Amino acid sequence: MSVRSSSTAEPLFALVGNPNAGKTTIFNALTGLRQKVANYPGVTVEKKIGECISQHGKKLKVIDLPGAYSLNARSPDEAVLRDVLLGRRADTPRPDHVIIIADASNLERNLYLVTQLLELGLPTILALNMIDVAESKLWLINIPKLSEKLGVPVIPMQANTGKGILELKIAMSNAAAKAPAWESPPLPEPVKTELARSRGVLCALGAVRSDAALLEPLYLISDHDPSHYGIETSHVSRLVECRNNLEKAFPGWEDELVNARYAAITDLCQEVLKRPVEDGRNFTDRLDSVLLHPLWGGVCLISVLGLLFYLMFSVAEGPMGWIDTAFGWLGSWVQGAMPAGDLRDLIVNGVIAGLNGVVVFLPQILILFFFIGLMEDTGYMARIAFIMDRLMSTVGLNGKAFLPFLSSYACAVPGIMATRTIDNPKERLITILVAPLASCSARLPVYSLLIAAMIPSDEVPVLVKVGYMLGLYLLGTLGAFFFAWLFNKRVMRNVSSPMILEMPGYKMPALRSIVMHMWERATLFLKRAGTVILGLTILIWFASTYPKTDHADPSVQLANSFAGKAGHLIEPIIKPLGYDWKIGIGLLSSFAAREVFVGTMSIVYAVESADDEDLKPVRDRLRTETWPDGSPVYTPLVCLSLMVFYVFAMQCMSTIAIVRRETNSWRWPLFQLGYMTVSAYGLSLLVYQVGKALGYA
Amino acid sequence: MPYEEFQSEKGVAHRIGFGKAFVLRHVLNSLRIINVMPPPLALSDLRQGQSGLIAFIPAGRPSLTRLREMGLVPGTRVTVVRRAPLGEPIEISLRGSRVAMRNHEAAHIQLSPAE
Repeated sequence: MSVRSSSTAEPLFALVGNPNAGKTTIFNALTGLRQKVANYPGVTVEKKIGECISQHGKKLKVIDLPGAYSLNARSPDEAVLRDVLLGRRADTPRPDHVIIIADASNLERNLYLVTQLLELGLPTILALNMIDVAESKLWLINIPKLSEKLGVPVIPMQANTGKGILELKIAMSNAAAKAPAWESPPLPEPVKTELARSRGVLCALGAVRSDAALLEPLYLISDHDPSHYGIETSHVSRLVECRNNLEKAFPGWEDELVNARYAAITDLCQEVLKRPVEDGRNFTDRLDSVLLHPLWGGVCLISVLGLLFYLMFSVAEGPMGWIDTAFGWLGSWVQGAMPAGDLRDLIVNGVIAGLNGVVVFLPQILILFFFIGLMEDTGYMARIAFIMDRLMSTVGLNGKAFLPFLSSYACAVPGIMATRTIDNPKERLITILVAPLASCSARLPVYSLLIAAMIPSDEVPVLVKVGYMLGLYLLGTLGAFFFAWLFNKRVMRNVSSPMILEMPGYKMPALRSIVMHMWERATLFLKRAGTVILGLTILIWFASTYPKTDHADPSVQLANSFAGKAGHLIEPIIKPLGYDWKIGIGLLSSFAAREVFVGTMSIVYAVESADDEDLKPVRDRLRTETWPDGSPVYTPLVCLSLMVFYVFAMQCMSTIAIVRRETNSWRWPLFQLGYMTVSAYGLSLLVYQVGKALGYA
Repeated sequence: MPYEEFQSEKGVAHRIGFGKAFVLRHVLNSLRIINVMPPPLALSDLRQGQSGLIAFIPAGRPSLTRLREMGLVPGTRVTVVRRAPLGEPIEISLRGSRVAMRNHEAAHIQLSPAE
């Protein structure tokens, strides 16, 4: 339990509001780059705190709380909001002031959370954002009357153009410690009595303070977040008891309270809001009649996604090439400038290669997040979810999971970072777990090499190779759908939640805010995932370099290193898949990143000048490789088995690092590594053994 | 047994549970012992452009409570704006805002005629 931040420190303003009300844009406009992002402990809800200078030159602190529809929490996001505002979090002081961001064009629904917040009694400013949209719908909002009725300053705003920011800052500078005047309809007597009793019970447990308002037990009892974040596990059973007692004392209390609040809001709106009986067809309707049209909507969606893929696959390739060149140049400079030795090797092949492996992700991450920011800000993201929801629901996910999953075909790292747009924690986790099964661009060189080794190009038409390639993509997709379905059914089956999707009106994006968001994602990636990737690169470098031999031939050196020995060590395990120890080295080293397989195999077989562009020398070498008894290693069946392995195997430490960061624990990345490796092994085994039994070996 | 008994928030449905009330209603209707009620109209039955007033939403279900919190309380006028190309979800407009939900939820929301 924490108390309100002391009056001598800078006053803390909390930004609160419905999702899609423009909260983040206003936070960015207020604080600029003076903001810090962290996680609330034990959960992936982001904690953003920034600073802003008041009109009197005083420092003000601003905390951006997660968007929510109600204080009756249904997700960890909403639980964080509730707990911070009630002063229940030890890591965050209770805010001194609340700034509510409400969508003026959606006033009634927004007033639901607004009235809940006003009841908390904290001094409040109401920012009425998107006032231009409300005006375009011919809505007349009587702002002085609204301000008088609620007893708080009300500031009309249009945050995406910066209109009203100055007025908000002035209001923040003059903010008086005066509680709002709004009084909601009183709680029914039986509810009040029961809540008072619950408060006694919870107070004895230490779950609430003795001076807590009745609202605190109320919001704890109506917690529907399956993880009960912010509530001690030992208190949950007692809360359920309290809930049952309340249900007995006043059946249907929860829904009754919602009805009563809306009745009060309807009355209030009759006084402050004048609107046409029927909303006319506005810009959003006209645009939606195209973008959600059964035919044109599909065409638009495919074009937009096509553009995204073009940007992520083709345009990102340029900067990614520059990054590789720059680090390559840096590496050769160090190579020339330093005396030969272990230290130089470490710096060139460990540190610089590792940094290269981290930074090379940036172009794709920046492009994806610019795109996502644009689509979220304009409102198109909700339309994608709307169109794709039916399809995703067949495997138990909802439409919001579509874009992150699709992005994973370019690269799982930005794709998994993009799962933050999925608000349902269970579906977010499932999407993270299956995202690496989408065949990412790093698998392409491996597939290409193996297909080339399997089918010599001169004999078979190119279409057959394309067919194999598509087959591998299809296999990965089916695998992802299967595991999503399985996890949904088996792993977390007692958590169910409905799909409720808000369809916000279209609006102009706030570019500044989008660019800041991109920047924030990129720096977080570098800081959190980058360190893990760098560490693992150095580890793998170490394993393939030591112990040193006197041989100048790199293939002999590799064979005698720890990695080479490990290859021998795992040979009995991978023999049933049709692989020898050399392939074992490839598998182990490509744990760093799948495409490393190609490079490693060319070192193992001592192929000269193997680069990604020209697979021919490696391919030809693979085709001549034999077992000690003279039979070829890379039979078509072994190639197929290897391809199936790469479709399903995790084989990407960057993904592990980002999953660790996004789920905030090692539990899920390890589970993911486990299930993917087991299924990769099992399916390759199946392919090889069945093929062999049918006489294809 | 009057229709309202099934519809109201304190009625049969509330006492014996929504599912049982649904079955009971159908049994009574099919036996033609008493004409309990006209067939209920659910939100999921509306076609594009049609409106209705929310008559009844079963209480005590967290998913439906969230819909209430988003403004779907009894007495509210709702209009179906469109269905997604694949038939689901349904986009509805109410109180000047737009929300989409699946048939599964919409089927529980009973309506009375708008005018």
